[in-house]
Amino acid sequence: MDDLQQELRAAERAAATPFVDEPRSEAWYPLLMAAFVTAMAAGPVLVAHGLGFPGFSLQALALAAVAFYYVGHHQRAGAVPRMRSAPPEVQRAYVVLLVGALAVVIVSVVAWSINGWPSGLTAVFLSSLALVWLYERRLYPRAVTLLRERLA
Amino acid sequence: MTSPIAAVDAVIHAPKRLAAMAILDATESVSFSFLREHLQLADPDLSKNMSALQAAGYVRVAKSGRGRGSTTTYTMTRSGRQAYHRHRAALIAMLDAPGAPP
Repeated sequence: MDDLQQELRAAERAAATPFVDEPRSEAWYPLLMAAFVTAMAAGPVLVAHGLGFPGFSLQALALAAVAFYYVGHHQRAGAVPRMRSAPPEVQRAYVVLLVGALAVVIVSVVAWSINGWPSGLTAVFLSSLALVWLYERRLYPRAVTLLRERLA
Repeated sequence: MTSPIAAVDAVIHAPKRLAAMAILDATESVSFSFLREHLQLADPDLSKNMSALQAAGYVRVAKSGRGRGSTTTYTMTRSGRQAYHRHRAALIAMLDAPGAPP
């Protein structure tokens, strides 16, 4: 029975490795994601102002940049973590990220409706920058520390 | 009531393959080098174990590139995921069974 327990524990430790050993994102990663979200929000604004080609081009460029980043990141990491199988510590951090994303939307919509699109886009950029930075530099590392402690 | 032993999967039960399946279950895809590094296995040993999982239909393998820059990537199949979860549940049931030491 001790062997079984050890095997299950070893399996749990192995399952945690894609999350624990994921390479730390670069310092500019929050800027990339904030720029991506802002570009996706700015695209329809440009289209509405009769600038269809620049609007769609901006969105396509943003999508391509993020896709390019993720392909490189996953190649470096060697594994693509599956969030549905994430350990509870990581899932909790992810839930906070999702709640934070909802807050970003609310703050941006409020700023947009009060002061127009320039303020709205500024709010999109700043709030998503803060959220991604918080997740990458505080929430996720904290989750990994808790996970390491549990499986030690 | 069926004994949990009946649900133990002989292919997955080997410790190295169980650990590999645990990593595969936690990922969308994983490279040969990631598995080698984290399972601390030699190339031939890992190849042999992954071939057994592939032969059982539990993993899919994709190779890209040639020579030194080539990469081998594994993905767990749906039947592999079901088999892994069944096997894991059986191990937990055996530990929880009456008469099992605390």
